[in-house]
Amino acid sequence: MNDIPETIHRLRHWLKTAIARLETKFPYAQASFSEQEGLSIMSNRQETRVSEIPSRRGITLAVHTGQFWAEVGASEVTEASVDASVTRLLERIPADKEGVSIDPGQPWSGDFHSEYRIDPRQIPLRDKIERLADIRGVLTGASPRVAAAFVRYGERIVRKVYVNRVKDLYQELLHVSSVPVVIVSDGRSTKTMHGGNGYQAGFEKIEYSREELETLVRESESLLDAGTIEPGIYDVVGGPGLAGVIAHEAFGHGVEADMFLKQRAKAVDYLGKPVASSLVNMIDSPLTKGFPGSCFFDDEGMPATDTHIIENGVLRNVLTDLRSASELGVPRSANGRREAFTNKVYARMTNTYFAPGESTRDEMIASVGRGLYMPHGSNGMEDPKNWGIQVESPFALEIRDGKLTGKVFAPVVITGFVPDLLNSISMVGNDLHLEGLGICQKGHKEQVPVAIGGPHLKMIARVG
Amino acid sequence: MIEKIAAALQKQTVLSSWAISERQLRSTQLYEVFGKRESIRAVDATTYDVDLHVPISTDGTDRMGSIRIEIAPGETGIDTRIRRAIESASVHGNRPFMLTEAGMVYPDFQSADPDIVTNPWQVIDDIHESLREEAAKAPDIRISSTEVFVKYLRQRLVNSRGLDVSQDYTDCLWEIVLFHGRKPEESEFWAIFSRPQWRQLNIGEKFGVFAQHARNALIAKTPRSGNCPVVLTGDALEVLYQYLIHHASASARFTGSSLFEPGRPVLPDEPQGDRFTMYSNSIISGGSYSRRFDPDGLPGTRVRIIHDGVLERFWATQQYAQYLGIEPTGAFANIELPPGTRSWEELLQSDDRVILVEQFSTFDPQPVAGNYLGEIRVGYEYRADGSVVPLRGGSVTGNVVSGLTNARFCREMEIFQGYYGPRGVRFEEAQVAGL
Repeated sequence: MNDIPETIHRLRHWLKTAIARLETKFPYAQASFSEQEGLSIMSNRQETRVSEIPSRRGITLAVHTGQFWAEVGASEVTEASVDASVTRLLERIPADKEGVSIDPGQPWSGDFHSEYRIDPRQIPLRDKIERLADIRGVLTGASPRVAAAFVRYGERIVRKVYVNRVKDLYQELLHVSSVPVVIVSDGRSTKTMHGGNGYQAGFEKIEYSREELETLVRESESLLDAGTIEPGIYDVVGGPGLAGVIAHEAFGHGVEADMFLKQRAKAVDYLGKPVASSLVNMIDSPLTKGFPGSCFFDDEGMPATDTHIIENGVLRNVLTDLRSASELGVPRSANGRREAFTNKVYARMTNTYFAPGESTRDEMIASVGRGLYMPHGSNGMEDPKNWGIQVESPFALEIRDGKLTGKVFAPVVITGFVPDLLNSISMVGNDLHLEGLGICQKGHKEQVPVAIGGPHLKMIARVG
Repeated sequence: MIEKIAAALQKQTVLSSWAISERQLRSTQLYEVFGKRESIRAVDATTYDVDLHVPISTDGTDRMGSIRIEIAPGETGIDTRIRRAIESASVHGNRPFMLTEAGMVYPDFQSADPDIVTNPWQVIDDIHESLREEAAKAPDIRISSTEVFVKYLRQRLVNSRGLDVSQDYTDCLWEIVLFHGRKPEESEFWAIFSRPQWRQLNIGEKFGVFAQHARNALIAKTPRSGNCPVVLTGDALEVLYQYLIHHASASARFTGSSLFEPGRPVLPDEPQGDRFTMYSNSIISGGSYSRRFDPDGLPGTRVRIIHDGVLERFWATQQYAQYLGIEPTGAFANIELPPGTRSWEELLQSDDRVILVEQFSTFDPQPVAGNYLGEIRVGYEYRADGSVVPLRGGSVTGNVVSGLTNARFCREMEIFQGYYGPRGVRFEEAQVAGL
């Protein structure tokens, strides 16, 4: 089950040879390979589409010249292609051996495989399609107002190799995801919601209870009758999805250390200082097993470690890649990630979430006189320089005198200043839920899979 | 390689049809931080996407099983890959359709930038030289970082009906971060955008505009809450009309998620403002989605989808056109709206206030429901007394359907990525959440 393809063995040899050649000229060299293999299926009532996912297969050879990084990426994975890339770097890029020195890290070699119970590659395609049809059938049958329903399914094995003069690493990560989508209509307007999740796991995660799917349809239908919210400052109880968008978008991007080098991070003013209520703890955790940001090493060969970003309200640590850690003189974390061989490494999040506290969701709602419950988050955007917030939610439920009134507002967005929001957190839930469907971008590009989440949070927020 | 794959496919007599799309990418990238080179990258990538179709019968009905696979450059064992793919494709069938036939007439349209094709590093040098010249004119502005990606893509599409077409295109992406002032009173403006040709980036003009946004950000205020007219411009216009594009698609019609009917108004209520017309246009110079042919090999064209607020036709790919029994238009390309009748200045006039949003933090309107919302990253409040107040923070929320029911378009035309149309649209009522 955990055999390593013979092509990977050969490739590692070629890359090690390449490193040796490159370091005859350059102070530092590293090489990597990545590919993915898998299926995507989209099933609706009228059709089912099956595709292999794009392989994104390719190698990257990188050198540090002493002054800057130079990289060559190629989709052709052959010994001749590796040799050609090496020659290209040797012939065209100048070296400055007196320049900056790069630490290759501690010697480390190994092969790593993520855990799963049911290998989706062993499940016949017909069975997968039938599973999706069953899910779709529940959605369609849940209400006459369902205009359309579809389910997206994905499975992919990601294979990554990392080599430098002291490291020789391989990891194989199995991901699955499924996304049931429902579109409801009253003939005049249409609304939609999606459920689902993404995991670093096996086919065992492609399971839904009837109740989950019917809740999805009910929530979608509630949007047909949703009102417009009166803009203002509200007590807000946010679900794990909303907490996750806050952790990732509003805060997390601002502690990616490459932003410090660009002087774009307001977080630099808060390092070692309170930035949130003392109830707040936030972590970036590639070691948390089973989610899309989980890994054994990052794309620069750094062993996976957890980073405690906020501890009891104090900003403690930032997320680094090799370059930012070297230049800032701060400890490396396992956050050097690239989209594929076509892209550069940046400091990126992995699985980022608020740690749980002691309150229950019901206690939080009961404590609100006039406010909102936002069970889900949907989207957001970073603003590391100013720590402005944009956190979107598909809907908010009204709370009056500690109870949900049944009134729905949609859509809603939280804006404001990050430290104000984090300092307003007065209750932290004892639950913890991570969502792994997120694709994180740096600005509007450089996509990497992540998970976000947390417990329920009670806070004060500007909502529009 | 494409011939090798085609030969392997032709041996499989069970296939009813097939198509191969070869894509060759050459990407050249430069990253700078405070004027110092951080990284340079060069990428060469080739992919072969192969669509396979097999006839199958389900309960006595003719169906077509399909699958898409990717074959790597130089991959061996192609015959085995194809046989396995045929097995997978045979598991489930959809309604059959015919691939695009050979002999189509293609527009004489080339969007590729010859400078990018011949010397991408020179293009990057030229971009930075232009930037340095502009920066020298603005001593109060610091450039934090820039990223320039110059891409050259070649595509060849071959199918079992004899189609064999090629096209080249280029893309130049520019990301820049500008600072104004000094800490603790320092402001930032961040922008990222792309054009097919590097001169279309118009660095001189854009740098001046961006620098002014950076200066204004230092004195920007949060808007007050309430409903008021809002003018949207810039890249937001490329995605604002996703609701119209979704509901006007043959695939949405086929799957039951479209509210639109040909010959019927696309808005449920009679418009109080300007009526609008919408084209899909894949042959605009400077459009991000301009192509000689679409992913199915259908010729690039300009086609009217909505006319004076009435759905004229669904836009339809080769597959969904056949499912609905209509003419294919090709995949939706750049959105084009004709000019309005008012001037840009008229859009910004009001008895009370109008909010102009130049840039949202992010803006992702829902295609199905039409809801939109976004935090104001760069905005201006135009007041009745003629004063203009820079804005930052707070949000604008609304729905495209209600917005278009009372909308005004200006007559000045601009291209924003995959949008060609009026520089701005004014929705008479949107909700602003601020102080």
